[in-house]
Order: sequence, then C-alpha cells, then structure tokens
Amino acid sequence: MAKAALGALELTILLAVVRLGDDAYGLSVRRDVSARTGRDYSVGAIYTTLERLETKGFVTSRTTDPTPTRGGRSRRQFKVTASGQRAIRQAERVARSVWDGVVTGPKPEPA
Amino acid sequence: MKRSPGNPPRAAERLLVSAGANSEFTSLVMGDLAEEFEQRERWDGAASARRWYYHECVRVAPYLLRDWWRERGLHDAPHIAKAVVSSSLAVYAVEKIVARVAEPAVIAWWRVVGQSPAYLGSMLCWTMLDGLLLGYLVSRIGRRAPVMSTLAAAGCWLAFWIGMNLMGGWTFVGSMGAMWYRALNPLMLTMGIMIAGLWRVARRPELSS
Repeated sequence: MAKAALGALELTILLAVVRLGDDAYGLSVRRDVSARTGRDYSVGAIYTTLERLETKGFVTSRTTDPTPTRGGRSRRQFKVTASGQRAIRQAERVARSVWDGVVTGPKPEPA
Repeated sequence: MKRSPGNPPRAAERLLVSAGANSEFTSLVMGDLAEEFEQRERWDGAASARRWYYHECVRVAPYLLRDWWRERGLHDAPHIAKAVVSSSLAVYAVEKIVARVAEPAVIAWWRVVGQSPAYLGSMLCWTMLDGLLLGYLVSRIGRRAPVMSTLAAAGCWLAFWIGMNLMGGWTFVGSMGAMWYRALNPLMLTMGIMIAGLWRVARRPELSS
C-alpha cells in the first residue's frame, strides 16, 4: 500500500489535507488546491482523488453530522495516515533528487 | 421554477440526483455545492450564484455518471435498453400513423414548393418533434436511470443515423440530397431527445431534496 505511486494531483491534495488538519473536507480542500495551483478543479475531481487516496491507504475519513448549510447533508472529513506521511516524504525526496543540480534563474540571452 | 433563498436551483439538483447513483458520493458532491452556493449567493448575489451552480453541474456530471456506472451500471443496463427500445418503437408507431394521415397534405405542399429550404426546414422541425417525444418517453419509461436512458437513446439514434448515412442505405434522407439537411437531421433528433429527456428529469417532483 505504502509503495503505491502518487500522481501530481494526488500529492497536491494530500498536502492540502495535511495543511488543513481537522478542517479537511471536500470544499476546503478544493479551495486550498485551487488557490495554490491557480486551477479551478471540479468538486468531482477532488472527491474522486480523495477516494483514490483512501483506497491506497494514504487518508482516512469520517462522516460528520448533517448541517443545514449543506442542505441537510453530512461532510466527510479526511486525515492523513502514517502511510500517507511516508508517501509525502518519499515524494519530497524524489522531487529534491529530480531538481538537484538544476539552476533556475533569468532566461539566458541568446548569443 | 420556484426556489427558496439560500437553496440551489431545484431543477439542477434533480438533474444531479438523477445523474448519479444516489450514493454517498452524490450526497457529498451536492453538499459541497450547496454550501458554496449559499456563500456565493451572499457575496455575489442570487443570479451569479445560480449561474455558477449550473456551470458546476455540467462539470461534475461526468463524475456522477461514472459513479452511477460503478454502483448500478450493469444492474440498470437492461432497464435502460428496454426504455430505449420501447420508446423508439412507440415513436415509430406514432410517426407512421401521423405520416399516413398527413401524407396527402405534405405531398400537395411538396408539389408547390419542391425541395426548397422551407420544405426541408419543416422536415427538420418534424424530426425535432420526433426527438422531443422520444426524449420524454425514454426518460419516463427509464425512470430508474432517466439521465442515462436519455443519453443512451440520444447516442444510439445518433450512431444509427450517421451509420445509415455513411452506408448510403438511408433512402429517405438520400433522396433529400442537401448536405446540410443530412447533417442537421440527426442533430435535431439528438437535441430533441436531450431537451425533452432532461426537461422531464428536472421537473420530477419526487426528486425534490
């Protein structure tokens, strides 16, 4: 389970769940991801990815009581598991290794 | 359509409920949309919030349809097939009866105007009426999965019409010649099916949330 690969959106959403802590549910995750990536993801895309992360064992979820603001429907709050934390650290290591030696800066002038 | 302040458009909610498997996934998606709608209505006004909601419905529809397919797809498939076949047969029967009654008048008119754009236009309207009737019937007969039944009917008829035209076996359309007519005819039928089918779903009172 822990060795399952993380896609780009999966990693972005997993990091959002870590950042949001106890307030991580569909809408808050979507807002966080959209604000940081500049892309307006559909609520369907967010929940599909969260479900995939849960299947991989990277997050767990619990259903809250129904609220009037949601038309009497419940929220599903997500929390990162130990396996999810390991996957994040692994993704960070891979990203550092991939970027290692790459110098970013102003575009060089053509000769 | 009447709407209480703070609540998303009911017609759109009914479409969402009918598109999905009515599972927890549908409930979560609709809950999030309702929560954001309430905030947007306060910040941006009711009209803007409604526009946003309809836009989000279109974006989320493929995910709900996929959820339906995973939860109930194979279970509902025979029901959908039955709805498509029986509604198509019913429309075919109605078409035959009306064509027999109206034939003398249509032929007389055709002799006067020939294959003019007005004549071909009226034939396109006729196709649209067929589509509207078919869409209404298929969503009514396939009420267990009305959105999928409507999509299935539209897809089957579009594929059939295009296939027959490609094979050159559709003599009725073939005799009409004009390319724009050949292209518009299946589109009118498909549009009619979609409009009537989704209109009926959006008006179903039993799906009020």
